[in-house]
Amino acid sequence: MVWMIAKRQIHDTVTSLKFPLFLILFSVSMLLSTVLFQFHYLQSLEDYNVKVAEMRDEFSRQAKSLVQLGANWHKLHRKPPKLAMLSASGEDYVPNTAEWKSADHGSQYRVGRDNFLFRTTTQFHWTFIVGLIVSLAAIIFGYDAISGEKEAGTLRLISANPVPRAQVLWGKFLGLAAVLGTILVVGFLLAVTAAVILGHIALEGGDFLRIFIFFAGSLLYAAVFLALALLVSSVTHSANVSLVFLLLLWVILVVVIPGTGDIVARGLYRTQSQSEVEGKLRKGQEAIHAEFEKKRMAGEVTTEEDWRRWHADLWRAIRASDSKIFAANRTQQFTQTRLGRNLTRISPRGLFSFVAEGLAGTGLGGQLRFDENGRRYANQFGDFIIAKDKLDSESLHLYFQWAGLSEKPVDPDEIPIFEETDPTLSESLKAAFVDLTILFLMAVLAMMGAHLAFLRYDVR
Amino acid sequence: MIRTIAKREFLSNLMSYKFAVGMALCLILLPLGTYVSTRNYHRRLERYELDRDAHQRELTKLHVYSALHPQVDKRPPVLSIIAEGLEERLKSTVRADRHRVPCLEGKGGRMALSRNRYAQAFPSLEIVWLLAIILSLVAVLFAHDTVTGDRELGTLSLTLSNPVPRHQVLLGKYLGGIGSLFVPLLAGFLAVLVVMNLSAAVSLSASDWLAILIIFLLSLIYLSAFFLLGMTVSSLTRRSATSLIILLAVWVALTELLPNASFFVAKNIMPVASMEKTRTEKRAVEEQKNKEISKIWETAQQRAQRGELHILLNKRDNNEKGQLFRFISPETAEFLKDAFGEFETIEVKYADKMAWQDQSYVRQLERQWWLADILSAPSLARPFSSTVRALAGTDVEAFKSFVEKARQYRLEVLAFVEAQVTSNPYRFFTDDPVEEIQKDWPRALREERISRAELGEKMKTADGDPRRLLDLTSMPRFSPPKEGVLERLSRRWRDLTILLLSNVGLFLLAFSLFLRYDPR
Repeated sequence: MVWMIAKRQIHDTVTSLKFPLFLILFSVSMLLSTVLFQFHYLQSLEDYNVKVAEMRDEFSRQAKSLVQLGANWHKLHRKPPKLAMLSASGEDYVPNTAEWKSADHGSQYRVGRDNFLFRTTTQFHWTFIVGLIVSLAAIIFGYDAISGEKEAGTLRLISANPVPRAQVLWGKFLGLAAVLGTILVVGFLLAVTAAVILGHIALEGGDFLRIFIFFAGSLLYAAVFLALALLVSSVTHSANVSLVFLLLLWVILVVVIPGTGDIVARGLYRTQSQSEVEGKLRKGQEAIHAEFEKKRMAGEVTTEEDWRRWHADLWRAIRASDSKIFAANRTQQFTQTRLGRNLTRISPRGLFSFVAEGLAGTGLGGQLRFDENGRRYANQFGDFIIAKDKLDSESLHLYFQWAGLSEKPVDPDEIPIFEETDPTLSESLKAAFVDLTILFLMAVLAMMGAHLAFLRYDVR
Repeated sequence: MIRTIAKREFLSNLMSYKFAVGMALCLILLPLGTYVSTRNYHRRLERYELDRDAHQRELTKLHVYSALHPQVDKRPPVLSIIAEGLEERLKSTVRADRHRVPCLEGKGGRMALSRNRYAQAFPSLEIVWLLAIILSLVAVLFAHDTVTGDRELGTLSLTLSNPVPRHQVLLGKYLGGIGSLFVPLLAGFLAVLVVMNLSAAVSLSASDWLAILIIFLLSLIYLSAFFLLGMTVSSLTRRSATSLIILLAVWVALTELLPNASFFVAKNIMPVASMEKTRTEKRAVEEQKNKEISKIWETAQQRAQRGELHILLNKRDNNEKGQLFRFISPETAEFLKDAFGEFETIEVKYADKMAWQDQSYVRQLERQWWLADILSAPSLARPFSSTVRALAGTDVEAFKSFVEKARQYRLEVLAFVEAQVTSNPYRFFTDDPVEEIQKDWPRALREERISRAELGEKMKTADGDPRRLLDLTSMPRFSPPKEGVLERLSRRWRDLTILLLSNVGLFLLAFSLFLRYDPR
């Protein structure tokens, strides 16, 4: 019986205008997004390769003397994420370059072809398109599923048959989900085909699996809104009223909450201002300077070597104090960001976006990965410098200081090169799992609500 | 007759659910959003005041003209509460640096520690954008059944059986519909104004009120465009449900998809050069400049080795660029006088060169932005919000005119310094009075006419001597650009035309479609 009802629902929806309308809107947007991202990726990759080549050049130039390598500042570049087309949220803002010096991590900033005249990040990725069009489609497909039938009088006829009400509801849900699924499948197939044909992004097996999970997430996302539509449809008695309420809900869930999460977080949790951080830096540096000055005055520094050691220690202490303050600042900013994200999780669109971010390795997760990879590499590089320096007996072994390292040349091929590892499949899944589960629970909850409401529905 | 129809339309709308939802959207979301953005504005204002005071304080501590590089700050406009625009994107502090021409700059460079760059999974909402989305949605909801709804009820046939021309029916419906939309719009605006004015930081001037009035009228025009779009679609379809579905699809495509897609298209087909490339090019020019400057210092060093120049104190004056010399010999003073004159010429020459590089970079950004602007013009929501941003003084042009003003101010400062230095050429690099320089302290020290202790004592008193500070009372003051509201409005004439023309065009379209409409 469920199947009968679902079939009828599918037939009704597919023959109506809304089906082709949303099919075309979704497919065209997905295609356009895919094609644009192909070129976007090509350019970012080219830029990235140029920067990496520059880094190598710099290394081979500095390899003439170990101290050049060990005491200079270097740059790490973030590799453009392959699956940015899934979710590039905020990618225009997050730092893609980190400065570091041997084992130390310095400031992070963004370089690239950004345009600060645009107020917002440009978002025309798949998550954006699914997040808007599919949720709207789900509402428009589902708003009259119950109340519309009541108005037409067919609901009475159906109830007159020996069919449990639950089956009616599930039949409708499955039928509508099948139609939405069709739209999603068509859009995704077109997009993936376009991506494969253009071929600027080398997609591998794991990427296809990620895209598939993203697709499953999109289905869940559609299911949440579909269940909401059925819920509202089963508490109202006119299709018009149900649509108006659903649109109100849609604006709040899809437009307002995601757009205000960060602002509210900024109000609730304050991060330090520029002058506060600078003040702390200055204070720390002054204290260290005073302490070292005392040592010098005490006459501990006599020989040339002492002098160099003193200098090296001073700078090391200052750098340690600085990086502690930088790290604390960054931690605060991450806390604020997490708070904003948690607030955004009230909305299914927020959850869905975080699922996509996790799968694509972009956004906050990608940023943290870059941070961690960078730190690991910096340590590896530091170890390399120490190992090389130990071979030179003339060196003072004052690590990473201009005055205290070996000046012997190094073989440029031996220098470790930063290679950002792509997240493994299990890592991606782990990143997406929690939000995917909450999304699922949301769908179940909304469907339970719809179930309860429909059981009490007055079909007259 | 028009009045009767309009009245009926108005009253029937007033009693509908959609009216309640429209009111709810306007009366809940707009005040809440305003509260949050008023707080943000307050924070911006505090930051501005702190910065401005700090920059003024810096000027009172200078000893020599080589350290004079005033900084000017752009005050966040009150209406940035409604339209934040580029306030958080562009730098609002500009150095009217004698050695660097001011230029548009983005916030969040390398040393921006306070900016949280990890957030931004979604672009943060602006009141004007919320307005653009809510108003268009409500307008579409109100308009979708203007024709089809009456047909479905059968009242359209009845209305048309009366001796009333069709255009009057349509006009009546339009006026009634707009009238009923006027209520939530006015309520929303009043709520925004009340929440804004509750904050102590907000004080609105007469021109702000005029701008708010114009924003209100603009909202009405924008609302009317979407209402007419709804009527057009309604005159094209037979059923209200169909009309609404088409309208919602068009609405989401216009307000959300088109602006975002056009930004992305513009970025891909007209890419800008990367920022670091410009930076590298600038660095090359800077190195050239440093070479020229160090050449002069090298001669100084050579002469010092030969014993011709004597400097007892050389330190930085409150600013990395200002050099303060004290207790110099008369020959040294003569040499430094020429050297600093040359430095100034070199610096200004290279500042102009680098300004050209900066500007060509910004021009690229502007071209890309312009393309995105053109591509997204049909969305109506973009023209509306751009115009409101222009009125609020938070658009690119407002920042550009601020930078332009800062550029003029820099020239004024340059002229001022030149005038001051002509009267006392030593003031560029020393705060010693002319008779002190004549005393030739280095020689006195060498010939042991004075002791080191005595000199140290003199240095200490010189540091604390307020008479040695620069007298900047006659320095020109920076006055921010003053633009009238109408002037700002006229900058967006293209957007205004689009909004007005779309009203006219859609009305004609709806009219011609309704003339052929089959009321059965």
